[in-house]
Amino acid sequence: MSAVYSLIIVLALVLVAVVGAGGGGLHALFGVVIPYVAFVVFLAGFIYRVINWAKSPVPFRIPTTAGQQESLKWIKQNKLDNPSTTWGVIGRMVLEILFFRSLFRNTKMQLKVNGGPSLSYGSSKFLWVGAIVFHYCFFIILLRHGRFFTDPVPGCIEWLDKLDSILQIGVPNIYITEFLIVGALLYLFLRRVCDSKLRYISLPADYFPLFLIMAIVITGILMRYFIRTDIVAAKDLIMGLVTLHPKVPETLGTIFYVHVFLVSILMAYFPWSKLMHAGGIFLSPTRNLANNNRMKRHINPWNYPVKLHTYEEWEDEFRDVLKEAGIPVEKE
Amino acid sequence: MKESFFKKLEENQDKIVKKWVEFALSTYPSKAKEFFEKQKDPFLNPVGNVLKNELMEIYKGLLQPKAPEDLCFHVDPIVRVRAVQDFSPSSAVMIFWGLKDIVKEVLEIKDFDGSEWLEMDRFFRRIDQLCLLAFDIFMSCREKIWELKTKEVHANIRNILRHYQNQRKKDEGGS
Amino acid sequence: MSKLPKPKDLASSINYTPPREHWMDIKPEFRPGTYSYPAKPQLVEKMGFPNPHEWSPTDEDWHLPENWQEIVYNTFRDRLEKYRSLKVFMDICVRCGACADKCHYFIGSGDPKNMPVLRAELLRSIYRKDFTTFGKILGRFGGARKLTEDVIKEWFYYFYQCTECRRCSLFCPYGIDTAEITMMGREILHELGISINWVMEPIYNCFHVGNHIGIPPHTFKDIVDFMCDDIEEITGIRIEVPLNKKGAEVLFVTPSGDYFADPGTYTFMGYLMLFHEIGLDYTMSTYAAEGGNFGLFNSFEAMKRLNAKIYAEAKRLGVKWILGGECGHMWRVIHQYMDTMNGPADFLEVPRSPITGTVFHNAKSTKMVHICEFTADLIKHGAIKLDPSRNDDLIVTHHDSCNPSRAMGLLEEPRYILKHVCNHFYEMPEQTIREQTFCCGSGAGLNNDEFMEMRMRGGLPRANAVKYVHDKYGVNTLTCICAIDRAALPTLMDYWVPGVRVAGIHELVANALVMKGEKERETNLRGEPLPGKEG
Repeated sequence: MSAVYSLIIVLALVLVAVVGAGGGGLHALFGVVIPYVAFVVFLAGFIYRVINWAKSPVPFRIPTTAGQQESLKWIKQNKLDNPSTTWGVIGRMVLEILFFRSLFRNTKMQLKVNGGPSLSYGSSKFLWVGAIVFHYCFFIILLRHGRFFTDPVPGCIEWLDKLDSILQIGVPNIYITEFLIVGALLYLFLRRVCDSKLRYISLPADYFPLFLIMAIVITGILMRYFIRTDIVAAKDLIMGLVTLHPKVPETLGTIFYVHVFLVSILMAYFPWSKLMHAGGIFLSPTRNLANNNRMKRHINPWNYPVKLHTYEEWEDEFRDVLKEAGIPVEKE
Repeated sequence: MKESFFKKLEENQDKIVKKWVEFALSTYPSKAKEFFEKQKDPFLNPVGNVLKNELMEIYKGLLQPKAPEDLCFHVDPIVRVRAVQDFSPSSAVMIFWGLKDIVKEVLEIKDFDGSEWLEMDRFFRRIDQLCLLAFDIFMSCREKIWELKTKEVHANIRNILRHYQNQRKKDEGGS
Repeated sequence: MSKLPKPKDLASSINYTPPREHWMDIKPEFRPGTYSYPAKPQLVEKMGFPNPHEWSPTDEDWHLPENWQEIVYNTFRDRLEKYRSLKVFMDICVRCGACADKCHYFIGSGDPKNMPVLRAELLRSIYRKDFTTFGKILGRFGGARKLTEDVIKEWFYYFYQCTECRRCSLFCPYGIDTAEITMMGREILHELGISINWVMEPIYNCFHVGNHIGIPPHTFKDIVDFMCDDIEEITGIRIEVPLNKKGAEVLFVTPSGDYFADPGTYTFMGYLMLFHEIGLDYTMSTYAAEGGNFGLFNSFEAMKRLNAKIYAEAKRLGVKWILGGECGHMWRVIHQYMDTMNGPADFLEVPRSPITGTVFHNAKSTKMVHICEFTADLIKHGAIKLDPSRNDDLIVTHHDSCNPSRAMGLLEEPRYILKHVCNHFYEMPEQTIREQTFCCGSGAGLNNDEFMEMRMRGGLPRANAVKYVHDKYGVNTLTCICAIDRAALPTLMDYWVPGVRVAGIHELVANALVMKGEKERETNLRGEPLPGKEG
């Protein structure tokens, strides 16, 4: 049900853009105003959320250690999975953010014993692959779009563009990332629907971004291969936005506005949703702290005094039996 | 001549056991069922793997001419798990009775001639014995739980008891 | 189980249709064996904790304070402001499901709410409703729900079905730590006067008397003397154990489980024999006679109140540094909380082994060393003589206790020691040891009798891995470095893998330890004949 609701919402959004920009001809609204508003919401929202998190202190240093600690000199420390220095933590975070280290743990070898022991790999590695493919494709596609936002286009973006279309199939050349991201999105969606555990825990908020991004990708693909879009005009509009001199070329089709509208929705939705994991991971206290707890004192800003049962109170209560048992006391 | 009943049981072994495992798993909530079913690693999913492996062994055992009591070794792990999982005694052991219906269903038995009836009856008697065996094991597991509870209490206070016994000795010696 | 079910119950218990309802619509059923008994209100009151009252999990009415919703809201808000972990963890979960099958309780029970992600959603759903705009507007569609008494019951049921072992946190791509969620959930319940007796009573005893079961100091001394008698019988050496001795170099603190419960007692004898052999100038304290800290399982405040005794006593006795025994959650508190809560320990010196001269730089601020670090260093320097063949009847595997593994990283030290004190050592499969170790199923205050069925279920993944090495290599001894393990694992083994005993590392050390002036040993610490001395 959650999935159906989310799908309906995304379709409704598409319809809004089709009616508004296509039928209603509100090009300035969909091409300029909404993208500007969405971008501001995204930026302000993202910053607000991160500051809001950062406002709460980290009272204790609680890294989850995933390897041997630093202890005696002759015991080899696992410096990346159990870092005790800032550099180690940076290394751990790099592994975590660029390579999804924790998720990768899922891919451990598994032992099957049916008919004699044999090694096999569990299905769990697919999650890691799916996640990596999705995130990297998204990232590359985003960078590739840089050619609409820059003039002249920097060499590295041109180079990335070439690399992505290296297969040189069809005219215009097909981007590899477009196929991969569709596959990854489908996988991420299907596992939510097919695995009953996941279906049980999934909220509409888990399906909505999947459908939204899927719709963005589909409109993008449509524009490139099926519904001719005036790229020069598109770049004109975008450069207008970037240089704060917005203009609305007349030659752009509805499909372009649908694409832009969905991207705007994604931007505006981002800071208020689970998509903020992109920012949150940097602030996760079980990952971004060094396991140097006994080496360096961590300060808790709200540490407050508590009621204690002091030694004196305790001795007063037990003095007689202490003396009888021959245990030394402070006051005779 | 018609194939013997036991021969049919043997031929349909995989199909029957598969259904049997499914039946046993269906006594768990759906999310759990799926997990118990899919996770193949015996260390990450002992419940499901025990069911799969042991039910197969039990089935093979039932086809052998030896008495089902020998199956104790394979029945125990299944019942041991169920004895600590929110099951009433009857639903803990009823998965074994379920085999009867599955056999009838898979072999499409509706009416049969006399000899087949006798063979089936023989087989079903073994299942009955199996169920009684499972019930015995279930009860011994429950008894074990209670025994462990008292054992724990005892382990926890052994030294304190020793202290008080010592105290009493001292007191008696003094008076 | 003892009562005969009515035919109606019988029919309802045989139900093959899986629950179709949304998880928010399913209420927990408080069946014997799945929950712990509530804390006695007198104890709650004597500790000065909020809202002491009589209540029972099986009752309809839990007699919550009149303004309970307000208390929950305020406590929740306060913790969100105090803990970034909570705030971030409430927001960033994407429900990818990587944690779902990592929890030992889920693996053993199959209860979907034992999936870490759903355990956290129990709290998150209320967070969304009370603290986020989207949740307020969208309601259940946005994963939010209203706070009702049933939610409180559900929290109690599931937050006291989590052992805070942090296995799920290892696999979470964002490091979301269910232990942190459970701790906050329990803190909120604590404010309502809801907690369990197996946690509250140890807290009370530890605070007022000095250890979990409330052994007064003279009884403590008596018990230590018994152990010295046993040691004398086995080795021919009489050991003196200094208590509350001022000016000793080292204060030794260990969980009370080591001196009151078998088989922890053998580990305790092991410490005493080791200290005697190396001539360590140490003392134990009868005031700070507890290393364990059940406050960790109740509230920050309770934890701090209990833990403060250790530094206070170290200061009063004028020791140079502190040595800690084998314990799991105790080391979580000492490693990750003590210095922050009750430090700085500027009255102590950086720990230095008086035997080998090794300076423990990794403990230079907290000034407390784990006994496995200490002993491994002794062995490395050849400071003790060991005869591992005395443990030849033991075929050993090692259970990494959760907290030292995932909140510290103490993995190699115990293995190094084991390799020098016994000749037969086999590892369990790799996805069940080291940082991926499975919990004993009884941590975080849940090792009580009334929770037995759930403990057996939760411990199944651990037991299953032991069974594997038991069948394959004939393993008959499971070592561990945790007092709760030593209390809970024997029961677990007895049920799932009979024939495997549980021992602390230092029990094996002491068996192998060749002491100066000892008589020829005939038995091990348990009074059983040594290999080759039978009959």
